[in-house]
Amino acid sequence: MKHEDAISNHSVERYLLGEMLEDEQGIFEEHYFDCRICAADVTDGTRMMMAGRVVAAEDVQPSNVIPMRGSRFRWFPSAAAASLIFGLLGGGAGYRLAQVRHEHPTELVRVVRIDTGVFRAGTPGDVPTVRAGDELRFDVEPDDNALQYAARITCGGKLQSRHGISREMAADAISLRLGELPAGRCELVIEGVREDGNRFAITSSPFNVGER
Amino acid sequence: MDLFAFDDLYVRRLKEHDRETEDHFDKYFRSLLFVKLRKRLPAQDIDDMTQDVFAGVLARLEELRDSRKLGAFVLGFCNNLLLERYRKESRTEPLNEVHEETIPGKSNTEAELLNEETAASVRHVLSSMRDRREADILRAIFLEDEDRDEICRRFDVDAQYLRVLLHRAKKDFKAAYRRKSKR
Repeated sequence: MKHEDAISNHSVERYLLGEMLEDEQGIFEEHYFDCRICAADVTDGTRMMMAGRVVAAEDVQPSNVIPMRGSRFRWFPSAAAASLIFGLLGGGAGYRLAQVRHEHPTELVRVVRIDTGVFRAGTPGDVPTVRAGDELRFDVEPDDNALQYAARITCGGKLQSRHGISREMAADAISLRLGELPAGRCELVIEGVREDGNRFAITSSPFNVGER
Repeated sequence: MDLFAFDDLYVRRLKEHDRETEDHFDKYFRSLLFVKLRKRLPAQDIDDMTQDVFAGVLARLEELRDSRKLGAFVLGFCNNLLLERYRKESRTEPLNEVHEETIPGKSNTEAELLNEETAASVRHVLSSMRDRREADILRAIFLEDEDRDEICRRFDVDAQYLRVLLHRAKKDFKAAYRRKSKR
């Protein structure tokens, strides 16, 4: 990454806001570890975000509170890398960590082959049931407006995990290793991420999580 | 911003254990490693990981081909150590993506970054914003720094708006922080 690119892409702000996918984060980190300007900017920004959290928590008023989730989402690449097993990961950042269990993954979204030869995510006729540790396999419906894709799993309306999917990755079927999820109804939501960072809905697929 | 360059002289001084250069190396990369690791490791593990990175880098400086790429060399070490840690974790812990912060802790670097001046500077930024709504959005970013979509929906703004707002706030914060630090 060139410094001009970092500036024009608002990389520092996007990094601080947690907008970057894992691959993109890695590329930007490679840049700012050797770029004194971006390094100072990222450090100052982090300082502000950390102090901001403390200050904002001190003077919380009803008008500026966004309901916090019960558990704070933390992006742990270990778990992320361990649970997302992409077909194209060999060409990625090299974070291939998980020992793949050789069990048949659950097809979350029924794969429908359409005339163009592109795999398209469809609506499942019946809702599959999975268990923690299972693999879910799904396709991402390609969309020209998407620079990349974002997948998230929610259970009972509560966010459980988020995953970034590059266009390259989305070209193949994606396997997602499930971590601990509460038993009950959950949903996999796929969104497209436009160049400006805004998102739009693509598919939403329900599944049940069974008791252990 | 410090005036220095990662060059052959800098690396040679590191190899020779020049005190001043080692101090600079420690200060510079400790902050950067903290920024990288704060969302990836529990707070109490960050200092240990940072020490491991430093020890590894300093022991293997001979392998650094291009002195200008010292930062990438440090980052590479850090990534390898993280990878190793994840491998161990994946063998012993269930795969899980939402981690509760069960153990309260603070790394030394976090304590250094968070001080009276930083808090006062943030208060100054928030209080000097003319648009009350913008201050509310900024507070929301600070409080809930994970889910931007929710903030965008609530305040009816887009991602670009948040970036610009954060950029301006960061600029004001830096100016306020420099002033307060000089006092």
